[in-house]
Amino acid sequence: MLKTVNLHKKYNEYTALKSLNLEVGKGEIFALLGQNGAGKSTTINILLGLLKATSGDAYINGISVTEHPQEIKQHLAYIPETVLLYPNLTGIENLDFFSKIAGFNYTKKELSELLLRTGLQEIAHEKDLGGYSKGMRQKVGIAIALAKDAKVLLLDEPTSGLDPIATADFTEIVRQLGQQGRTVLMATHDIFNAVSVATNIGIMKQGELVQHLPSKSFTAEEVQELYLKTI
Amino acid sequence: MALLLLWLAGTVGIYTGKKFLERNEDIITKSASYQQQSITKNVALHQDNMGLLLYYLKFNFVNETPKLAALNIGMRDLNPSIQGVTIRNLEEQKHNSDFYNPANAAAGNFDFSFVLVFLFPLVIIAFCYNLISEDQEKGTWKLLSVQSGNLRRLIDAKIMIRVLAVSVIYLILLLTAVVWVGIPLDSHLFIFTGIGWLYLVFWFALCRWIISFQGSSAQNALSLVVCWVAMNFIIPMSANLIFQKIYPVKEGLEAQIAQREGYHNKWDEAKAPTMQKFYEAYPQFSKYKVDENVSSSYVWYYAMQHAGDMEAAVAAKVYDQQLKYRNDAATYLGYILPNIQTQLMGSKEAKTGMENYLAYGEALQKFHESQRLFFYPFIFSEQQAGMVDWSKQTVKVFNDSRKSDLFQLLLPYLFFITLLLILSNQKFKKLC
Repeated sequence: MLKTVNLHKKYNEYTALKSLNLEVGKGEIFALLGQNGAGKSTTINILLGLLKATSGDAYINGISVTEHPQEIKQHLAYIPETVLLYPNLTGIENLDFFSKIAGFNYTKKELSELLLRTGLQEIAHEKDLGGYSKGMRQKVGIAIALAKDAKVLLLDEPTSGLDPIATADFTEIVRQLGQQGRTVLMATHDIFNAVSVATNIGIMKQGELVQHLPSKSFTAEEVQELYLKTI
Repeated sequence: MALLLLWLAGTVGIYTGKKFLERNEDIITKSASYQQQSITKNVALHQDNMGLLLYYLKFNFVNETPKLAALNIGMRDLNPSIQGVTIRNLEEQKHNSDFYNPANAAAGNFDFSFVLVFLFPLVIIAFCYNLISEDQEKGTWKLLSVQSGNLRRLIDAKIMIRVLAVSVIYLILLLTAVVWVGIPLDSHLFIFTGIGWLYLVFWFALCRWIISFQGSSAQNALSLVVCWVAMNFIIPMSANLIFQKIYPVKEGLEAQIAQREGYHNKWDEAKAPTMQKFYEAYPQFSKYKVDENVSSSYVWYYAMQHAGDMEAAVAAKVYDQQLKYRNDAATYLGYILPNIQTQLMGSKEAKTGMENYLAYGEALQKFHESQRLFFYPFIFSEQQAGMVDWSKQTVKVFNDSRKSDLFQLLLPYLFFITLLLILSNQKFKKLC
């Protein structure tokens, strides 16, 4: 479903990714751990087609990201660390707009249901996004990803800055998406969250995937210890 | 707000044109009765002296001003739409006319064409400069990019909404002008409307190309404003200086001096050479002989006037030729600068440009000649004023019926719009 083959990215003399080989199957949730600058976001940006790999390639549903950067976007949904939307539009209007440009035309009721699925209370749907907290904006971002009905989800530190309840809600949604057969690649700093939701965990260091662990075999503490030793 | 201001500026522009047209029409209407009054008064005073009568009588020749001139005053504020000429020398009279405040002429009129050429692009720039960069700077671009499988289509949709909004204002203004000024719905109006709209599309295409570089909002705005300033001021002004250098029109003054000297010197010269030249030009009047010793003769007097024009003919021709060359050079410049093209072609359709002025000058010369040929026999045979049917001496009108070449009109717009679309499409291919 998601595969990288010898993915390499250099910025002048700096190497951000070194021959990354990664495979995430259908229904799998892969959590990428690593320090800032380890190459997590670079990997996601290449998969999104926002960055060009120096060498190697990545495939979404067998389609080459390098050769078909536009086409692969139909199969992807993305939730960034901070979901930035239009502050002068309401939550439901933002969802409607971003769904429409993805080619989905939902009724108001359907849009409202999508927002409710993310845990965003109905009273907030018609309020301008400018008045939303970060957690509420993230929920609209999740709704946008859900609305696209994509097979592959790329999450770049999605729970960063969320309160524990919002993080737990979010984690539950991601778990459900995995159970529904979605492929999820999630870059995160949150080891406990990663262990609780991911099927596989990878630890990155200086652009390399240095550890690849099936999360069920390890406790959060063990992963944390390994992580601290690795980096 | 920007559209409202544009509409307001456009309405003021139409009002300026309407007032100009009304003033022009008022002058032309009154001139007919003034000419009639002048003829009646002078005929009564100089019944027995046709030579003296025709010395005073002025005959008005109108350069027909279409209603469309309200949208493009062009050179009509400098060059009058009506000129009264006696049958004496022409060259001095041609350039001896009233014109409006030169200070106003220097700044140009705040007419609809000014709004179209200068203000509409500014609003288009304000609408488009941050079409991509705003999302990039606010952080929504990444999500837009992932959500949309075709970002170029998304940007084009945004541009099309703006094209639609600006076009609606443009058409509302033109519709207002049609109703308010009474502009006829003819091919000239349609061509004027078409080239104006293509000019707006050109600016949208230019904005599309600039934003395709994906610079910051500040970079885009600066680039577009530099284009606006260069196209509207720096290049035309520099070109004007060059044209003035290449095609100086000192012959205008030379023609006047040659005419004055040609005429005045004849008073101190022998009559025979003057008459010889006159008879060569008009063999039909060779029967009206002038004795060298006679102190005064209207045949000799009008022959001297004619000699003035003859001696100024070369300079006058060169003057017109130089003006034509300048206009041709401006036309060529219009092929690469759509704003110049819009001004020139708008003036052409509204008959307010240099070509119309030159054509009117030529027609005025023919009119002057026809008046001379009509009155000379009455003067030379010393007829009574009552022998002339003065009721036929009404104000005559020049109608500039030249048609525009659509290919020449549209090609610069279509070329640049297509080129900019192709160039921006190339850049958009790299859009992610």
